[in-house]
Amino acid sequence: MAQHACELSFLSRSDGSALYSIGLNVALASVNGPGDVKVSNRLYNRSHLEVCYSPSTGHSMIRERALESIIMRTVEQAILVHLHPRTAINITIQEMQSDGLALSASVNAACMALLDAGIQMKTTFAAVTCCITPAGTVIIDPTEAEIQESVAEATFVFESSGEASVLTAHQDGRLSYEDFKKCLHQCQVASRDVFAFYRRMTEKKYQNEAES
Amino acid sequence: MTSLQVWRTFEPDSYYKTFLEHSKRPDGRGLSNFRPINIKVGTVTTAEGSATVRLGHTTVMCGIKAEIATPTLRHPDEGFIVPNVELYPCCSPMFKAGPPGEKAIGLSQFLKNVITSAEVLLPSDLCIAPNKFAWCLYCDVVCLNYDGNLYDASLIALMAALQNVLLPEVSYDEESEKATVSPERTLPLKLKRRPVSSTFTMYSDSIQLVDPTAEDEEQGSGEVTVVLLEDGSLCTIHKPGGHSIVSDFLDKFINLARKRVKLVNSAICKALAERKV
Repeated sequence: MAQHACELSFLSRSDGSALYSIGLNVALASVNGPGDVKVSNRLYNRSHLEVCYSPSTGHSMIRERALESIIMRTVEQAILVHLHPRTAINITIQEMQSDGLALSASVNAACMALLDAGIQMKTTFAAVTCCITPAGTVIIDPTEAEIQESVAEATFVFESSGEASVLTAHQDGRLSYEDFKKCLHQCQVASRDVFAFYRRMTEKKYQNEAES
Repeated sequence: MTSLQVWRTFEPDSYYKTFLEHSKRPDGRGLSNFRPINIKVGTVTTAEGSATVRLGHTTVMCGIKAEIATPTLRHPDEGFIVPNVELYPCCSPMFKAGPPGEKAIGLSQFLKNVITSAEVLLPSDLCIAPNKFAWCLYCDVVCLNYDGNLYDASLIALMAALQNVLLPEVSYDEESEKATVSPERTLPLKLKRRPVSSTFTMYSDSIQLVDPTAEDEEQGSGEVTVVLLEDGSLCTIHKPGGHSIVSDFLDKFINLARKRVKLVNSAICKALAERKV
């Protein structure tokens, strides 16, 4: 597994933010809310969620819009949106550097930023990307070069609560059923390390706050 | 208004739940029954290939236009396949006029992902002369009536239309660097694989519905789309958030989806054969 690192409250003006890196992939997530909402987006029974993803180079195109939609649908399941009706929660993700794991870095950054902002969630979530080589070996957190060489790449987002059920799944390339099971299982195991990392980071944050 | 309609209008959740308690859906289907599929190919005569697909009330039309373009510098011997999904307000009040919404973009990306992951056809087969000319296939999918499960309907329409495509033969003269199109001689595309998708809606931890209608999608929380190939391998699995599932359920979905692959592909073959007669 690649090295995970995270800095909480990286931005001073947003309600919560996190700079998250997996190997050479770095994403910065900022969360604002629950706050003001445009009248057209005002929902009477829940909070409106907005995700904005901006790439490190170039303009936001179809790929980014598709990523936004995946991240939004994932986060939506975790946040207790019904607690804040007629408000909006904005999540902005800036890709800083990418080496093939843009999706998992930004999902994890979003989760940490939400924790930092203190938004009520029913579960935390962690994304793990893996790829499978032509020889059938599963590589967790591959690099861009390894993904290019591989036959298929898959990203899974797991819930921390319960039996680590799958929130989101995304796959590129063909896989046999057995290989798919192997990928899913190994990612599930790897997600436990990510959750342990989340715990260490938040513990550190609250310890520092208690001391100061 | 009958009392049943009143119930449906004022208490849609309890109305729907009562059906599920009896393992039925409001349209009379069981929880793991698919809707009938109706396919017609060659419905747009001005396009190189086309198909209209009905999945229950969901109606989707796919037209493929071919144009000759210049290959990119990075891939000088590859053509292009550009799927694009249009969801106009006439098919459902869910969609608004204007630039494509989240659902349309998600669907276009999904189709593109399936074509590349499954290697439906090799981009190099679309090349006419390296660095000079290559075919660009614009696959436009338009939804005419929306009643749920756009993923399955649009993939069936796209695959049927691709199998219906007839491209005119093009000869390339190296000396004059000119391409001549002979419209009287046409060739079909060489499709390598035929992926079939199956979509499930998650209602609760224990209840999942196959081939959801618009009502099922509204009542449920999120969909899972499983795309399988004829040999049973997994082309892609698409689950953009929604209710979480344990991996045992994924196995159940994949097993249900396996049975559907043959069914859908033979329906497409039948439609193509009908056209030829």
